[in-house]
Amino acid sequence: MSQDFVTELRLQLREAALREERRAPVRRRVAHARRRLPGPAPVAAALAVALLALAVAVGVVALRGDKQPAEPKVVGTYPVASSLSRLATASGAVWTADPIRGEILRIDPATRRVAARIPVGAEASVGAGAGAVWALAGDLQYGGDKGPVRLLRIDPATNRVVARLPVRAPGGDSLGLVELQIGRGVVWVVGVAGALRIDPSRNVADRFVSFAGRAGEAARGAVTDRDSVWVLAVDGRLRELDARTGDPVRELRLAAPADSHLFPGRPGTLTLTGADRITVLERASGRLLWSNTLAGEIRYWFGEDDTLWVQASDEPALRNRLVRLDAGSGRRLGQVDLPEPGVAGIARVGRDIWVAGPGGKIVVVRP
Amino acid sequence: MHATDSTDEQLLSARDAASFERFYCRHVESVLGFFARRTRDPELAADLCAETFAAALASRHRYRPEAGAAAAWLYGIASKKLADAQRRGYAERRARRRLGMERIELSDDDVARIARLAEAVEVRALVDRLAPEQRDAITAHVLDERPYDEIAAELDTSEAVVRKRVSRGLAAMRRRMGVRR
Repeated sequence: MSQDFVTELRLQLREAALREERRAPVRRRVAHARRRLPGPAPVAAALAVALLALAVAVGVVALRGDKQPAEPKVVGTYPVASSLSRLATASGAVWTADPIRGEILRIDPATRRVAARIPVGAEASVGAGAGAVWALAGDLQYGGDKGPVRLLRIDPATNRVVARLPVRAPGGDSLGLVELQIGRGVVWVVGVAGALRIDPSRNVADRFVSFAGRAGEAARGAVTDRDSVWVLAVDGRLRELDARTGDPVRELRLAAPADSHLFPGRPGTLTLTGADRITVLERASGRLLWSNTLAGEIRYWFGEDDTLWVQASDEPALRNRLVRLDAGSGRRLGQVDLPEPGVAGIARVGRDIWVAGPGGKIVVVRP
Repeated sequence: MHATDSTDEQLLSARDAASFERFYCRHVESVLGFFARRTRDPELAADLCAETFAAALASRHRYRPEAGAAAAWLYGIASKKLADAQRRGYAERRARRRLGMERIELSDDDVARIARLAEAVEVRALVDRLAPEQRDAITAHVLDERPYDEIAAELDTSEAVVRKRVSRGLAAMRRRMGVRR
């Protein structure tokens, strides 16, 4: 037996399989965990009917002849690394990570070349905001079950890690699969077990909002900002928690379909994605703003002020599309087939949209 | 479900990384031998093996248990990769690129082991293709190195018959290997 080759191939396949899992939104894994839990509320069907009616209405509006913007097009594909993860922009650079080599990468958007490599020795996922570049690094594959996860603060002026914070609940428990949410000068590390708030002025975790007892065993996503944490519970209820105390503020019964997952959206909104449906709610009221169904499974999306970019994958045909939606109405504004499979990250870079693939290439799309 | 309880079909349909890894471990040696035996080139065999499992990983969502055994599905991919490589002269990297997998450089030990694997698998495969009485005789005498009289007693036949079965079986294997006497 060729043990060395066999072992190396095994490790590569394991990493590839885990990347494939991560490429699917977190909602899939949460849904998997939920199989052992009681089923969702039966009123989901009612919401589905309502969403369908709204989708028809949106379609009618779309047929009124509003002028369509130009179709987006791919203007370049550039190899960057052996693999890539999420993208973030800060200090005139594009930041991402190579999960195979365990490096955070700083890319010069002008030359599209790697300008700096910051070894972190583990898989990493980057975000930017609150005056720094931030990266979750460590056992992101298993959500901290098989090793520590740390939040790194990187000074973009020196490309050096200037702070390392452990990511865990106050009792030492893992947060589960985690993601970074940064906005309005606040950094949150959000997991399925709770949300950890970081004070960027002191580089310390100063609050923890537990989802236990509020969202069931695993939340179907959470959205944070300075004052509130919204949690979509496994029973389909959307709860707003006080970010300071963790106390419930209010509760809305969404009866969202079982495959729905909650993500941050435009300011003042919440976004729910299902298998092939994207739904936007008003944060203040929970009111449905719009919903749209795409041809293909929604796997990744990226929001701007007026536009949503959604990756829809047609698995049988292995087509991978980037769909442009009007953020205000959900109206489809165009789409482009991506030449690379999968999406690991999307960012606005100048006038273009950069799409990072798990195969290590960046596809540049011109809207 | 525990790993040991899972069938190939269950592992492939589960779509999680751990299940695919178990599926890989079950089949990697035989797939590597399959390619090594047919290419006589350890580097190409390793490339094809990696590409086959990468393709299987990338397209496992298309596998349907009702359409056949998972191993047959895997070998279907392997056969296609082999045919492509024979036509192109090299193993394509499409699936591995898609998954962000790097080419694995073989060590000298790897090359030697894959070559030995090819030989071992080939002999076993040739033996398996023999008529049952020839297969039993060759397995007992050539592979297990047991004497003719002992085999004859066990099979309740004469020593001459066992010798003839071994002789004819070896001749059949030589023919299938393309060796002329």
